[in-house]
Amino acid sequence: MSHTRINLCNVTSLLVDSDFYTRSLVAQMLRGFRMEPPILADNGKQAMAILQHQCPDICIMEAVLPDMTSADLLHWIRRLKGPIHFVPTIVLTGYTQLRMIAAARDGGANIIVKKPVSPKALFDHMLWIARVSRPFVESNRYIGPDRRFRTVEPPDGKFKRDTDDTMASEDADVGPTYAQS
Amino acid sequence: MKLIHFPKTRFAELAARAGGITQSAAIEGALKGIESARPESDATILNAIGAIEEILYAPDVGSNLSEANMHAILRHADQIVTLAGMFCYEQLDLAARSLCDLVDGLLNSGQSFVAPIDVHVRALRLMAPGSTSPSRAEADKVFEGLQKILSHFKFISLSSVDKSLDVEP
Repeated sequence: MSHTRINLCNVTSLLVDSDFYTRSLVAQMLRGFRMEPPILADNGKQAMAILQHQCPDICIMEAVLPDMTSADLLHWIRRLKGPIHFVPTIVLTGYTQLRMIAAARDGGANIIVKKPVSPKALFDHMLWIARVSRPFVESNRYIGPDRRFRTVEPPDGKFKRDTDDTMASEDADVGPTYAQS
Repeated sequence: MKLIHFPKTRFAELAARAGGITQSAAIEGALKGIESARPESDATILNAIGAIEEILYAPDVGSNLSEANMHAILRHADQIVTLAGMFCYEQLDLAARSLCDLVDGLLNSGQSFVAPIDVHVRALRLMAPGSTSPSRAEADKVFEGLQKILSHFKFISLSSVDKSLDVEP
C-alpha cells in the first residue's frame, strides 16, 4: 500500500468543524497530502451557504456541529441537485460522539472516522473512497452510498429480497435490516 | 421507488490521474505540518485541563455539578482525547478517555458527583504535557484506580459503543 500513488493536487475540500484547533490540524494534513487549502466552515448553516455556490470534491465534517448534526447536513446535501448530490463525505466522530456513528451512516456518509484522526487513517480512507466504487442508492428513506460493506450470503433460512421477506414473514419479526427501500 | 447509480465522482477522477504521491510521502508531509503545531496543541490541552479545574473548583460548587457544567467538562475532555491521541500522549489519552466514560455515565444515570471527576482531573494534570511523566508502573497504578471508579459505578467504556457497527472499510 505504501507504494500506491494518488494524485490529490487541485482536489478541493470543505472542512466543517466547530473547533478551530481541530480544523486547522486537519487542514494541515490535507495540505500535507498536497490538496488545495480547504474551504472552512464552523457550523452547518455556514456549510450549507457555501455548498449552494461551490461544489468541493470532498467534504469532511464533524459528527456534531453547534447547530445541527452531520446526519442533518448530509440529509440536506444528498437531496441537492447536481454533482454535489454524490460528493464523497467523511464524518469525524469525537470519543464522546461514537453514538452518532449510526446516524451519520444513515444520513449518507461515505465513511466515518474516529478521532483522533491520524494522517495515515485519513489518507487511507480517502484512498479507499477514490479507489472503491460503491453503488449510490436513492430511495424514499435513504439517499447515499450503499451502506453494506460485507458481501456475504444471507444466513440460512433467511430470504434475500425485500419482497421475499414481505411474503414470508408477515408474522415474523425479522428485526432491522439494511434494506435500501 | 429505488434508484441505483454508479457515479464517477470528480474526486475519484482527479485521484486517478497519473503522478501524485505515495502513502508514505503523504503521511510524512502531513506529519511535518501537524508536528509544527505541537506547542500550540500542548497549550490547548493545558487550557482544557485548566477549564475543567475552573468548573470543578469554583467556590459555589458543592459535591454535585450542574448538567451544563457536566456537558462542558465532557467537551473539554473530548478535546483532550483528540489532541492527546493525535500527538501520541498515550497516558494522557487513556486518562482523558476514562474521564469521558465517567462523565458520560454520570450524565446518563442522572448523577453529578464531583469527587470521582476530581480524581480524574488530578490524573490528567499528572500526565499533561510538560509534567514529570510517571513511570509505567506508577501510571498503571493510577489507571487501576480510575478503572475502579468506573467499575464502582458499573459504567462501560464509550469505545465499546461502536464495536457492533461497520465503520471501517
